[in-house]
Amino acid sequence: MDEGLRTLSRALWEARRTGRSVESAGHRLPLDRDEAYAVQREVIALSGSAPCGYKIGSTSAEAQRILGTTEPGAGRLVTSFTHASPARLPIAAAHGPAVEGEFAFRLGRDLPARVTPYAPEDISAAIEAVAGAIEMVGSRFAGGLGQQGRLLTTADSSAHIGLVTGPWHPWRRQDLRPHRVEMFVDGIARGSGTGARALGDPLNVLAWLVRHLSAQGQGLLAGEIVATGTCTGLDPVTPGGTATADFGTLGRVEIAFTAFDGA
Amino acid sequence: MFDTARTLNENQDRLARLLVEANRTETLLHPEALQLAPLTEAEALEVSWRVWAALGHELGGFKVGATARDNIRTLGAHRPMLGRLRRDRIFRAPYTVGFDKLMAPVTECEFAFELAADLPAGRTDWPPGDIAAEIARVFPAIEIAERRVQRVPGYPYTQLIADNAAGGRLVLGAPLAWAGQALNAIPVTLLVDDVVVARGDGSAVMGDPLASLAWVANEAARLGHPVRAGDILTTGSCTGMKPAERGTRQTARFGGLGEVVIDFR
Repeated sequence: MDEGLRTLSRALWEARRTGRSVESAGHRLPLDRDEAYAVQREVIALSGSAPCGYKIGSTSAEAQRILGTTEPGAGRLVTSFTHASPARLPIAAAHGPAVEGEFAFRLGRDLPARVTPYAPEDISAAIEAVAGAIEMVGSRFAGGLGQQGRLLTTADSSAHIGLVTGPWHPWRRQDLRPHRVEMFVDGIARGSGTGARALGDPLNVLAWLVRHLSAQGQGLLAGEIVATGTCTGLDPVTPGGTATADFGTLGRVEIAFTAFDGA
Repeated sequence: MFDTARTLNENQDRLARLLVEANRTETLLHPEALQLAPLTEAEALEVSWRVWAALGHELGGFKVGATARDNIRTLGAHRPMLGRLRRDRIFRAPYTVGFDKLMAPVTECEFAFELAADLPAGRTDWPPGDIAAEIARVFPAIEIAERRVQRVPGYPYTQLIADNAAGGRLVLGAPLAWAGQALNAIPVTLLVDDVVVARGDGSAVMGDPLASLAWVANEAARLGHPVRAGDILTTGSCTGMKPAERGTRQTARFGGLGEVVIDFR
């Protein structure tokens, strides 16, 4: 990785850590997907945090249009930005933060890379538990989410701020397609939807991820979490506010937002 | 031998995940950013196994680190450490490699061996004399040791064990015409761009490469991988550890018997 991308990586990590923003002008920017993912990985390396799963974004036509892509995208989850509900977390208004209500799976066994695709029942059999989750998204680049395009968004940890998971329930092949999720911001009902909003079924998103990783010779490890994409659209949040996602029988996910110190 | 289901403690699990990711993405970890509690040797071996299993590479043989007195002092290890070699990372000289593909590379000139037959599982007490009888071929070799964590002084040696004992790539020269002569008397010289930078001989590794070979065979069996025919076993550095540099050629000369050349582009 050249020094320019290293400098960009350090700037993005500092921005994530402190709540500041990075001006893309004046930085060496990634020119292709490989460089964008290399920056994303270097930011994770700088954080020293262990990877613990994936978040999938761009599962809707609208999100794909905004980011200029035609397929979902996978970003890495790491332990220091993955929390259990209820959580109290800092966000920066400058990052344009928003919340998404999603279904999350936790694997009970490895799904190693394979040339022949996994049958749906084998993927389901590898799941140990399901939970409701809220993903916080935003942009460390000045200008906000949606202004950066696919490469910069990928470099910037796929717009991931953090994930908060609700209670884990044993996986019993529940049908998530009609399962309703409602998002409340500062106590007011905002976005809502069902599991069908995630590529027709959150299991389809997991199957997409497994294929996507297998094509790169990678698999999933037991214990990893996969957040399968928003069922409630995107709702802005502010420091000092709250977000609650109601997953009915799967319980609630609650976050109270604070400001960054000194921001 | 190790149960690859979730039997690691939190500290081990964290390190295993970091190392799997670093291996897959070929991104160096920053040691000052890791917050790991100290590992015991046994815990490190479990992490090493878990990482190897998760990556799914084909086993091509074994390497040993910290056989030479200096290496033990430099690495802080109490005894040698075993690493697994990927079959797809064993090459024949001359070898050219893009420097940017390598992760914190250092080179070591070593004697490598191929055995004629599978060793029986369960035997962990091979003496050097007996193991010599199992040798099919002896190769001059340069090991390109690689780490997944940036090199810093004082790096805990148990974390190095967990990181596959700095296993990387192995480059083999043409097999030596070996008629049983003492390997520990063969002078080994390392040149960088035709300038001699290190000298040594086989006595650097436990007194004799055959002693190191026996150690490797025994340790591999103890860890649940009895050595098979065709596995390549490399026995530790005769010339210390030399960081590789972009745009240079390294040549290892083994007496007048053979040499190995690597170009780092």
